[in-house]
Amino acid sequence: LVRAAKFSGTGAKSSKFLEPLFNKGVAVSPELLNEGALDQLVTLNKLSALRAELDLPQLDAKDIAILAQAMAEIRTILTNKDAPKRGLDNDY
Amino acid sequence: MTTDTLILTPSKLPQRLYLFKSCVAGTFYPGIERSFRFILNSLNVDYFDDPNQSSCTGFGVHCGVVPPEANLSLNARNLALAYNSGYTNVVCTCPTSYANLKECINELQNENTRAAINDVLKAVKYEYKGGVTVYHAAEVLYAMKESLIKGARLSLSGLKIATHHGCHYTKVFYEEVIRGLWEYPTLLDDICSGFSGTLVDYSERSLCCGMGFSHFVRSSDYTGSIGLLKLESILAEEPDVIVTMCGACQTVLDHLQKRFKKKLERVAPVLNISQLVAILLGANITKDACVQFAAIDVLPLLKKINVV
Repeated sequence: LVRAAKFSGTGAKSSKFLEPLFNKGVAVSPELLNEGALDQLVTLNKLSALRAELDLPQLDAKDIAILAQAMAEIRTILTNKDAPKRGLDNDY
Repeated sequence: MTTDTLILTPSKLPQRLYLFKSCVAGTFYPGIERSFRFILNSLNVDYFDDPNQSSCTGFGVHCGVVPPEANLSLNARNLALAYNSGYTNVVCTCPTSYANLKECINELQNENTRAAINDVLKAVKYEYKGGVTVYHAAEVLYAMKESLIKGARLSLSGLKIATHHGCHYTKVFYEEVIRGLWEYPTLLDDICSGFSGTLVDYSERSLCCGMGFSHFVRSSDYTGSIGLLKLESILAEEPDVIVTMCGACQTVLDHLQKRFKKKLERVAPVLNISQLVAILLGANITKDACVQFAAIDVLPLLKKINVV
């Protein structure tokens, strides 16, 4: 992997998870984003199919069932802790 | 409130456990937590499966994308949830959650830190008061060892087992490893030997699986090179199964064998200790242990222990 190449935002899959790293100037390989670190290791399609068979939520985090009150509490905590540009970036 | 701290010796069943779910385990190997629940239910252990618990954010912390304040605030809420529920023995299925929660408890012992974090929690009407103890699920399995062996329908007799304990259990709170030493932990070995398994030693026993969180995100070839070194060392001993206590280690050791199949002379299935014990107790292999999620086929192992 070309580890020295800094993510430019074009041609590579956008990653909200990695945005804070980019903002700090951390170099992340565009190849890694194109392929996806997980995609390189795990067959995600197979995993999705197996999860569906067990009636489990899919890997898209927005599908994960979280109690509304719990989510409200988590958001409030992160907002209170001067984290709108920090913790909140990662609560999806 | 008084706290009923667990006695982690195989003498009495632990009670009033707060089951702390793991993001990584729940995503890649849902059988880990299903198996642990199966075991607790089998022995009528009283536990609380709290739907209000949030992620410990350990993965994000180790990748440098979740700041310590956010981590500490969210885990102060998690620990307050456990305290308020009366189930003050928090049991993590993930070593990263285990170490992260313990680190948060240590941080929150500082009066200034605790006051600052409690100021944040005020907005959601929580207060962190302490009084919570954190364990790993494997420690609880060890504590229940005698009852588990008594209730087992199957054994590991004749099987060669290699264990990998996970760095976030052995190398963060290294003085609190309950069996063996941090450089040579034997917690998983001591559980497996109770079911008549034969433990094998290997040269890279203390080596990380390669996950490293930030390494995995930034440079998966680094993960691959470390993981391959580890796997070559394990597989040279020809184990029938590799037993872990960590969903992330399991993901790496299992899926890397598939990725490096051409480089490896042989492979071995990887199971979490909860999955293995649940199978020995008679759990359903697909609905409880969810072995179908494994990258390396578990069927040969299941045949050897007469499950199928």
